[in-house]
Amino acid sequence: MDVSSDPDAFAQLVRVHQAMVFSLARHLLGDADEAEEVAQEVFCKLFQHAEALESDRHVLFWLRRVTVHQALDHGRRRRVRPRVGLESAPEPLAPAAETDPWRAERLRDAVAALPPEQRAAVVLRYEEDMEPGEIAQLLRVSVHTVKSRLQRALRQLRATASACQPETSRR
Amino acid sequence: MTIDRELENELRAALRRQPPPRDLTPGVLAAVCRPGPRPRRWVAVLAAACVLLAVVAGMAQWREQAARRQEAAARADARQLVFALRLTAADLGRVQRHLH
Repeated sequence: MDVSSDPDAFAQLVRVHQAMVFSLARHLLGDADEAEEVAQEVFCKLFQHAEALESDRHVLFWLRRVTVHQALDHGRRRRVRPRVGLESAPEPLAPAAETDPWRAERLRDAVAALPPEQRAAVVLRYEEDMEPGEIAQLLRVSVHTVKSRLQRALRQLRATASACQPETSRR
Repeated sequence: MTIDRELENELRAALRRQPPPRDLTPGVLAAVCRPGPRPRRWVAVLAAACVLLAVVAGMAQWREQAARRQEAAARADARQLVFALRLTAADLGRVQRHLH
């Protein structure tokens, strides 16, 4: 699939996948500006490697893998933790609902505070709806490792989520 | 609904795909179409020459060492042959003395 010689085809590829690439980077880095920067880098790499990619499925797999690695590398370089800690967050005024934006934001912060490997597994599992086997293939680790990372992450997130519950809803 | 299932649903909602604030296509196209820095040809030529020189020097040294090893082995063989001949000559002398 060589789109590097066809700018229109390449532009179309960027348009189709930009939400996925940006969103993955956004959730892995916790910052929209940096996610945009990472997305640009990923698409530039795609342009250079387009010749080696054989199908749409291959492109999707490649983009997910490169985005995760690029975002985690970017995060390691800047060594910045999430800006808002859960401890400093104010108590919610109303009981938590499924679509509570405050709670969703706290959960995103909690995901951003996870160790990088666990964060990657959680984002791929719940944002991209990937199965542990697919995540294992993408991260080049065993399925057992992915499952254990997910379990540890969920344990941590559960603890954080229950800490965020208002007193009334905890009883 | 179990707590885990509830948490998983909340995670799915919280981590829903978010489109970028603006279309990334023009920026990406501008970045890939921008001519990159010119490769410094003399650096590549120099590096290739160094590699070639190192390979040639390495091969010459290896040949020299191989020749030295061969020479040493031949000398050792010759010494062993002379020693064996001496032993044989001594034995033959002893046999001759017995016969006479």
